[in-house]
Amino acid sequence: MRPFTRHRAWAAVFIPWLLLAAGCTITASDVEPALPDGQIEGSSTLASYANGRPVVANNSSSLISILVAAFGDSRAVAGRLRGTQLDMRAVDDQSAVYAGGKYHALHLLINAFQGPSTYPMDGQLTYYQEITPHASGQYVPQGPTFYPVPAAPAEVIITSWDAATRHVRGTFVLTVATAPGAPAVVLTAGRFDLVLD
Amino acid sequence: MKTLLIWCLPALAWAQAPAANPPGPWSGGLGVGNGLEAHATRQTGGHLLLLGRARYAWWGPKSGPGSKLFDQLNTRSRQTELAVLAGRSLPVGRCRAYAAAGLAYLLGRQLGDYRYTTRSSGLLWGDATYYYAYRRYQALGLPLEIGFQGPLGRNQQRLGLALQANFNPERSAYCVLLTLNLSSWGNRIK
Repeated sequence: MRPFTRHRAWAAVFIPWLLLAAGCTITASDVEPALPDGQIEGSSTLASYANGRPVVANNSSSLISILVAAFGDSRAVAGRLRGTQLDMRAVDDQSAVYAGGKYHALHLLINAFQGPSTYPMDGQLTYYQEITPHASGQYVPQGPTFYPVPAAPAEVIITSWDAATRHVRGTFVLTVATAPGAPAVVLTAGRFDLVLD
Repeated sequence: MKTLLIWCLPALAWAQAPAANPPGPWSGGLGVGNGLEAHATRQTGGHLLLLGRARYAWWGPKSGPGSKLFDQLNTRSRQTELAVLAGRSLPVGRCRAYAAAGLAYLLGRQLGDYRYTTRSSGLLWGDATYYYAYRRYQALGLPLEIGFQGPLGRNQQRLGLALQANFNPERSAYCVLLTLNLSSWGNRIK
């Protein structure tokens, strides 16, 4: 019988301890990417957290997008002021057709716009729509449309407005649902920075 | 071809020439593969004590934006490992094989689901930056390594291949590395 060596004693203590330590997490945290603050590289941007997940829409321009725009408005973020009615729309991740991911269209509408102030959103014309990307020729039923929940906050705070350049900045909060009592989508920390048409 | 041979011959001679002196017990080196590694070892008799290795590894998402090989370095999971290992080596002719296990500290981030894209303007198209949710972690893991090192060269270097693994509750990592091990420190100091 071979003697029980010093090395074997060392291994007998060390190996079980290793196996125990191999299952140990010291710290761990799940991190969502931060929302952009202001415009992204000088292009109009609208962003918010939708049920805690970041959603960002921003424009970029190129020769191709300019040509495409000749056949219709393909901008991800746009806004216009008609009289005192301010209408903003944003579509996030227009090319995010990965892994069945969805994208979203948001229309924000406020009345009696007069510059920096806090405004309630129009409950009839403000909406949020879920869109499922599809391949060419593939039929996908239209996604559900969400409307503001009456009892929940739905307001826009205009923080900056330059009438000469039509540059508007602000924040918003909004809770929407497809029907009363249906699961809601809560948009928090909303922010926009765009030049109106 | 001739130019290539002129450049390669001195390197081959350097790699294959026998050692003038036996190597000291201490050595160190680098590894390059699907990760970058630096290591220091102490070899005593038939026992090999891998005193430490530091390795940085990174990999992209399997699907979604940023999954192409050279697309978007910010969409990479990554893991830094600091490990101490102990093991044994076995001479195979003028070469040697070894295996070791130990304990590792890990610092890393593991990509989660794709979240959003931001785009910059450009002439034909702009650059896109892809953002993912991710998990940030520190953990202890079980590092394993098996390797093979070639014959000792004139400058007491060995070229080798190392297969490394790290088992941990967050993200087990596997690396294949080409290694260069220099063991001349002990003798040069004398």
